[in-house]
Amino acid sequence: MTGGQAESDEELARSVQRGDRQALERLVRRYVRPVHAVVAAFLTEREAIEDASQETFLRALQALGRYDSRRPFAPWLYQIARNVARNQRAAEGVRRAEPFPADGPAAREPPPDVAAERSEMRTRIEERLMRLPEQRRTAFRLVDVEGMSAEEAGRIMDLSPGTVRSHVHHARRQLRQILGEYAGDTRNTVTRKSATGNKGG
Amino acid sequence: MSDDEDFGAPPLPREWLPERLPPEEDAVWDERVARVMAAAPLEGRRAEGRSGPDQTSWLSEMGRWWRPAAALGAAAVVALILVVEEPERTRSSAVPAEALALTVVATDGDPVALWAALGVAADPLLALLALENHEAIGAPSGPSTPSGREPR
Repeated sequence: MTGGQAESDEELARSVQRGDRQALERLVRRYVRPVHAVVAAFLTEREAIEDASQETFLRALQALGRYDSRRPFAPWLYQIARNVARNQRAAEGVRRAEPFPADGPAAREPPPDVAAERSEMRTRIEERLMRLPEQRRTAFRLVDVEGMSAEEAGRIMDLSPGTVRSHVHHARRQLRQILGEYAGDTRNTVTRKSATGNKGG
Repeated sequence: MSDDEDFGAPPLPREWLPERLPPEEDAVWDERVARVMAAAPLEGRRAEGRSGPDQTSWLSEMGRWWRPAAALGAAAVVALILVVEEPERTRSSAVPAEALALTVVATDGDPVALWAALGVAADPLLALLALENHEAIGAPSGPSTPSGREPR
């Protein structure tokens, strides 16, 4: 996210501490997507994710006077995002997962059967994802959903790449169990449909 | 992307995963940034930002440097004591020749009176010899008094 950029996160943070508004905008632009991704590991509704992301930046700005710029900025911001999202999740309770762009045009593209199956699987996976341990869930979200490398995710989460890979590995295995459950459910449904069709025909 | 990395377990089918966020260059992020910036009261943060980190860093710098600074201060005090004490010791241990000559004048050339002025009870002959010996050398090399004792 910051590779090859002229100013480091920490330099920008120091400028913001001195009241540089342009530095603040660059910092927000740099982290707006990663913060959304982290928050999305805790919350499922789009509006809640946006609110929590905004709240994260505002709280970070409030706390910036206490930020020690000798320490890396990304994990510091990640902690704030995590706390905000965790609190919001606790306040609202875990609602049923609603796919992030459920009403987007991409969701209407595939044939109805495929779309229904996809939607069903997404719902199941997202529900199961929310029950995973926090770090495992976040690592999975950043790497497998948002496409970050283990290094990038580790830099944000303040973990080694190896630890991130381990979290992703376990998350994949746990979520893959859903495939088996889903296959069993589908077989039962098809069997019931066939039985009903045979009776009717 | 993570596909190239070894995670030990194959990734789940992409179409079953939650939707990925829009890419970084998408206009939606411009809107989000603008929203954050509109809500950010930077003027209020300026003073806090200045006082907070400056104080913290000043204190932390003090914390890092107090040991070398204390050592340097102690060394300076020791050096000062040595520099001040050395002339004191020099003045008290040796009687300069000029002071002795003035004393000779003050005692009107009487060797016994001269040594008496320096606190030494002297034999008249020895006092004279000792004085002559001192003037010939310029400065006494050791305890060269008519009584053989150190002057006070």
